[in-house]
Amino acid sequence: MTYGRYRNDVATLYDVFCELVAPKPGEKRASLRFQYPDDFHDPAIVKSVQQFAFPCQLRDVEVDAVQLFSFVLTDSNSKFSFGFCRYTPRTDTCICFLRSLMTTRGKLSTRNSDLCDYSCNFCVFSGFFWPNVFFKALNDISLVIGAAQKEDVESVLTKFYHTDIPNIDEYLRFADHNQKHNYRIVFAEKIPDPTRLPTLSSDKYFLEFYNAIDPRQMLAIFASLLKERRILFTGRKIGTLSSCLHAVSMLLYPMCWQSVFITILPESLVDMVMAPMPYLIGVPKVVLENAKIRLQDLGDVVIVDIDEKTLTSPYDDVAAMPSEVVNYLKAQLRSQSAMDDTFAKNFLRAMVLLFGDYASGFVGETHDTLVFSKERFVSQQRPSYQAYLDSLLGTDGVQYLERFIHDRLELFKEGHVPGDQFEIEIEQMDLKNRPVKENASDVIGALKTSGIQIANRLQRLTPREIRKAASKKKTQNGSEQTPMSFDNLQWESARGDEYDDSPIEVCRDNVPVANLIDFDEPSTSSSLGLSSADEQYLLRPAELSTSGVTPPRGLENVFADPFATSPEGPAPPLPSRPPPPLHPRSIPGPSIQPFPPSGSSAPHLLQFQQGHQWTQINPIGSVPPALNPSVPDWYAAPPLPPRRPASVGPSPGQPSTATSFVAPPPPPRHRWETFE
Amino acid sequence: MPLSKISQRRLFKYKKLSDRRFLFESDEESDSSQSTMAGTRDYDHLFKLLIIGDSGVGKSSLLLRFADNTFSENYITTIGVDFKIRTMDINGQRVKLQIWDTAGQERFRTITSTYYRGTHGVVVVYDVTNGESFGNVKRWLQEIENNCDSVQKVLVGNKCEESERRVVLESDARNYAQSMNISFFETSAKEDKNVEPVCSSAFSIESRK
Repeated sequence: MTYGRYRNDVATLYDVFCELVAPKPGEKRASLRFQYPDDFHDPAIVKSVQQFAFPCQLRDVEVDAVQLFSFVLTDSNSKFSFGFCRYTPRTDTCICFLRSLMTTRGKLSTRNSDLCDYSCNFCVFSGFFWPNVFFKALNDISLVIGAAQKEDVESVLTKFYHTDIPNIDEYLRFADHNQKHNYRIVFAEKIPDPTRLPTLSSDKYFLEFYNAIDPRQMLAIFASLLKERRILFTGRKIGTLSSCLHAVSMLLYPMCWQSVFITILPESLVDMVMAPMPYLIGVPKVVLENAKIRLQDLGDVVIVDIDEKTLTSPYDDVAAMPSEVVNYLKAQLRSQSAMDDTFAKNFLRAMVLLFGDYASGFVGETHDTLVFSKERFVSQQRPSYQAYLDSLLGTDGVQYLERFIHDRLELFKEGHVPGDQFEIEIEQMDLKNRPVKENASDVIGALKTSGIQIANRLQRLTPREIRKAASKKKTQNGSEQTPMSFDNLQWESARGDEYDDSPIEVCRDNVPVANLIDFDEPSTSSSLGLSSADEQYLLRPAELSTSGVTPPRGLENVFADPFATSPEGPAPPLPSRPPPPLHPRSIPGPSIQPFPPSGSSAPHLLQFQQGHQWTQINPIGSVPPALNPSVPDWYAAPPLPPRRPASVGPSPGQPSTATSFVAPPPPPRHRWETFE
Repeated sequence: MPLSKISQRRLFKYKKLSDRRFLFESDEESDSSQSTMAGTRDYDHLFKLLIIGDSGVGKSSLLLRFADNTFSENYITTIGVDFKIRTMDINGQRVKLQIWDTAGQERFRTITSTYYRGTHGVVVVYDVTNGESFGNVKRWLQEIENNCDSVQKVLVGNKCEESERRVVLESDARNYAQSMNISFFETSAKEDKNVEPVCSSAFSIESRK
């Protein structure tokens, strides 16, 4: 039994289609004008659609623009259904598809049954709810509604309802036309592969999130997600708002947000923002403004305002994160420009850095007796990660991690080998790190060169004065802030110590208790205001000074420099992870997946690292095969002691607690055995 | 740390916060017709409780008995979270008690501190006819205890009207509650028995200042 949050009992392309008319003043719900199929009898669901398709007075929000947004319903088993809506201001109506998540295994299992079965059970990317397909269909159907008769609409919907659900990576094709009634629908949308990372070019949610949120806010949001805070998003455009919520929930991949998740909160339910447990809620600005909720009743909530581009939080979650992860994400998000999956991959890599070594916590002689030992896991991590991971697993006890470890443990117990993007990335990053470490002098050389280049370029840019002026101007503006808005005093105070070591600007003087993080950045400063952590990361001062290059003033401008943001720029090396653990998949046991015939996987792909347990590199998209004792010598895992072998030492030059680690049997009293 | 201290610190914190962060309330006095749930300032204090327990132990019926307005809709099947309100008068102060429930919490083995750190107290419910539900409750309480959290707890054995099917003895549960130093009640949501004391107990914990 696994704990994914997507229903898997769906057979048709959508559950129900509704056309709704805006609620009249005083009415709580929109009225239903049309519904297909008309024998859809679930009054509770229809009622919810009436409520959620008009979360607030949409006409007030934006006068002329059509709005595409989506909402999420959670049933009593915590499973999601998704509503895709298109609001037309001209008629003040909203059309909406409601759809439970499609995980029809027969369909998806055609290519690689293990992979797909596996991903069905876990958090998957947006592929499964195909927003592009539905928004496209809504646009087309709105044309039919405008141009043709009710019977035509019904016929289109009937055809669409019974459209074959295509396999992943195939096109969902749909065509219908009626010359007499003057409508024609032709569309083909590719069904994304749920096992791949979403790309900015094809994923509406990720793209809107990327466009709407400043990179540093993304980092803070990610940090708060990891801490399972109560996170409230607000904004005027409910389309952007709902997209951001969807995207944010996917940042935790391969883990799943386990708590309350409401992409758009209707006005009538605004009291739910007082919920004391972790949540991710999107509240339309109007709703929040009309709500008369005292801040003290709200509690310690992280509030992201998409319009104002502000984030306020009572916690400094970024500071708590291991600095390697913070620096990595910062640098990557700043330089993000490709429209492919690198954006999603940045977060995935951060997850790998944090949790990629999860299997080192699994102890047991055989598959059946595997348990997860928190102490063991934490003790095997690099010192800078230990406190953070310990608090996530201990005092915070975040649910997404607990669920993840539980599910992975179950997989290993059953003898399966997980093969999602997370696992692939774990292996990739291990291999990537090795040469970097071994050729450290090359890396330093590269940094020197880029440092000189950057320094040269910086001489042409003299931003210091400009920045000063901008800062002055900003201060004046800031002093005029009304107390009723997100203030940006925070920013002002942080400007003074730009070279401060703190990874994000945190106002310590003004707000002693709340410790606000305000990311409000004017356009002039957003490209300039990098903390010194970034500089350190790209151009390590120690290395620069040895070469006689002193870090130039205003170095933070590296990111304003096209050189630095170009894909060929000095991409920072991935922070290294601890050496790979004794992986449960290498515990002797019945081999589940047949090993590829010898010779099919070229021996040159094999890395002979001393004590490296994962001897085979798998091409992306493939499932890492289980190690099988019967294959030729170079595939064979070294003889495995029951616990972490002493040969799994630290990487050269990397301090690690594992150096002299002799795994003591954890005291039974503290042992965090299993998540059963 | 005694709870009163925490509460005071909390309030202090909020007060501090409200100077800085934007306020959700507007200055105008709201018309009372709008949202009697929590929107208006019709109370002096607001306390949040969390109700946890296996599915089927009767949390929702207990919640309904707690609630002021038993005709309010149930949103647990719509958005996975719901709460009920109980208003009380304590020493001339109007106090509002919110009791929150979430769907599918039984898939969590542990009820962790991220889950309850926003609350003032936890009402832990088991079913006296279901030994497993009592076992889970014990595990949860133990874990809360292990995390050294000072969150207040109330143990509730529900469905005490079903005397033939009872498997958890009242004395066992009471001893356990005593050993954990928490209050304990057996209730019958069905027959509306003993629900009131739970409410006031949860409440007195809060108002002990």
